[in-house]
Amino acid sequence: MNYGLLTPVDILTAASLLVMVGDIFLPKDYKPSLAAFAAFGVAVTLGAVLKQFFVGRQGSIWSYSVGHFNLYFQIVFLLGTLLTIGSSIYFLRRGREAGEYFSLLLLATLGAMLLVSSANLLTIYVSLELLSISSYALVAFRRDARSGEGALKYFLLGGMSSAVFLYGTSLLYGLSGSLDLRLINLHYPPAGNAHLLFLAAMFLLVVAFGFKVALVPFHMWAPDTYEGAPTPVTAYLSAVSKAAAFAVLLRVLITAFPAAAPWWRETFAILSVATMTLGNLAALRQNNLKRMLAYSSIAQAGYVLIALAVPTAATLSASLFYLMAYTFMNIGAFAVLAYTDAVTGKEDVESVAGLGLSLPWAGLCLTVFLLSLGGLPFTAGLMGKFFLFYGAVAGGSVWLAAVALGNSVLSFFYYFRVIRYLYWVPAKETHKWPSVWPWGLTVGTAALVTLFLGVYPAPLLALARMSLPVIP
Amino acid sequence: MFSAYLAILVFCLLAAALAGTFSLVAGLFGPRRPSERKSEAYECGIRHPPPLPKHFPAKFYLLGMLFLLFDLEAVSFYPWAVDLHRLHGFGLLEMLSFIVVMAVGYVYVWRKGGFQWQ
Repeated sequence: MNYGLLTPVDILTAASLLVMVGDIFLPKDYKPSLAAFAAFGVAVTLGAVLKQFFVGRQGSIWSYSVGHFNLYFQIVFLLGTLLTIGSSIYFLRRGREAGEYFSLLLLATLGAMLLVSSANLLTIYVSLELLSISSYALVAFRRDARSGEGALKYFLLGGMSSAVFLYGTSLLYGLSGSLDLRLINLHYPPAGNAHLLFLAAMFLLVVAFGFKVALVPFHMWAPDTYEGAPTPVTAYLSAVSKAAAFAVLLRVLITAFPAAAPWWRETFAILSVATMTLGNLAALRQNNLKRMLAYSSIAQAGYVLIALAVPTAATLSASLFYLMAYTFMNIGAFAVLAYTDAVTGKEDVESVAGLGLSLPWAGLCLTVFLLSLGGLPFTAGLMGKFFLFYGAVAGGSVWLAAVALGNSVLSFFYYFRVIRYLYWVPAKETHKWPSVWPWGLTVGTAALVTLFLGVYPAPLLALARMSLPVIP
Repeated sequence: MFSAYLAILVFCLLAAALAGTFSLVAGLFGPRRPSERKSEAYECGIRHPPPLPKHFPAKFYLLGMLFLLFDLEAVSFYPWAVDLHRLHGFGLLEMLSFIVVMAVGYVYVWRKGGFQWQ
């Protein structure tokens, strides 16, 4: 037994428990330092994961598998968590609940890491619940009516999606006698009528994960939850939680149902078009910035789904690249909003009016993030979209690439509207912008990485190519 | 192929017939003295509880929830104990780490005042 494979998750478990213990025993004035400890724990975990990725041993222990695919996504989650911690510090300055907040955040990340590494539907379920239950509590963390409403909606619909997942799992267990993803594959295709039941079970799993990714027929919870949650938590949900659900979707479909690909490819082509179109159309009409970015992140998930509609090596590596880039640009954009929300107390587009002049660096960073989300040159977003759309064309799905391209153009309207407010609409009231260095570091790093990946995407793309899910 | 389920169908029919007969007989021959209290929505003949005040203490719910949490965790000891002779030292280590995680939760609840009534 190679217990060393579990080192990163062990470290993260210990870190989250220690943060919780620190919350109990530290005197009140020292509690904000728990943020630094949490960031340290995540950084050490990240180091252990990077070591496994580049030099360490890989393999599997029980139903926990460690390969490039799993590790790549774990790196995405950990980087996203670091950025979230950096952008949370200013939000938490008034509260002394840093311990609860950060231990929940680390537990959610632990759930995400286990989720993407599980090779068994039962452990997938347990890790999904760890991620979800921590997220419910985080959404409610603002402790006002809207935060509670968002959390309740997320909780009720999340509970339903868990039930759907378990239903699908029980059907699969009945059909194949196993919960192991690889063994389920061996039972395909089952004889006679069982085939239909098998497909039904597969689609139940797709629905459950689709809920977590907020794909369009299952996205109803997302805008309200994203709007009600504390802004750093929104960033976390829209990047890390979404990437985790996408990763497990990819893994389950490609490991357990490769032979059923003709069925799910069509499904995801439709879901992809619906998700990006509806997300963009709804984002156009929003005045609340958080809500706008919520719909924008729904639309972004639609682009990533191209990889499941046309599953070739090119689109799959492009989706991995895009998710990494998206983590930086999306959390970066939300991090700027977290700060402006906390200072101005408003969330509508007016709250960033004149920010490009009164706080030039933050305005510039937000501009970079928005341009990248829209997909303009010299940003990571353009590179990711280019690889995805090009992969779709090369995979023979020109119409899907055309729809996605049209959607990107559509999305410029609402991204540019914010940029217009940043530079050309004067602020109605003046605010004193306090300097918060962890926040500045987070936003600056995210912007630099976004630009770097847009200018020199080759290294990350090479890593993404290395990390493709195994197609047996 | 459905013949195996015939017994269940007969059972359902019998149950429906029996329950129907009872209600019918009671409705036909039973005495009927309706009163205001009896015709209220809450049908056991007990007076409505007064409407709750807007805020009511949720202490009991917290305690109930904590009880359920720790109770369920204690239940997971049973299957482990039954299989311990096959799990050997590894099973012992696993359960020890489980207990450590649970103890952190317990200390957390304790220090946060979850067990205090006031």
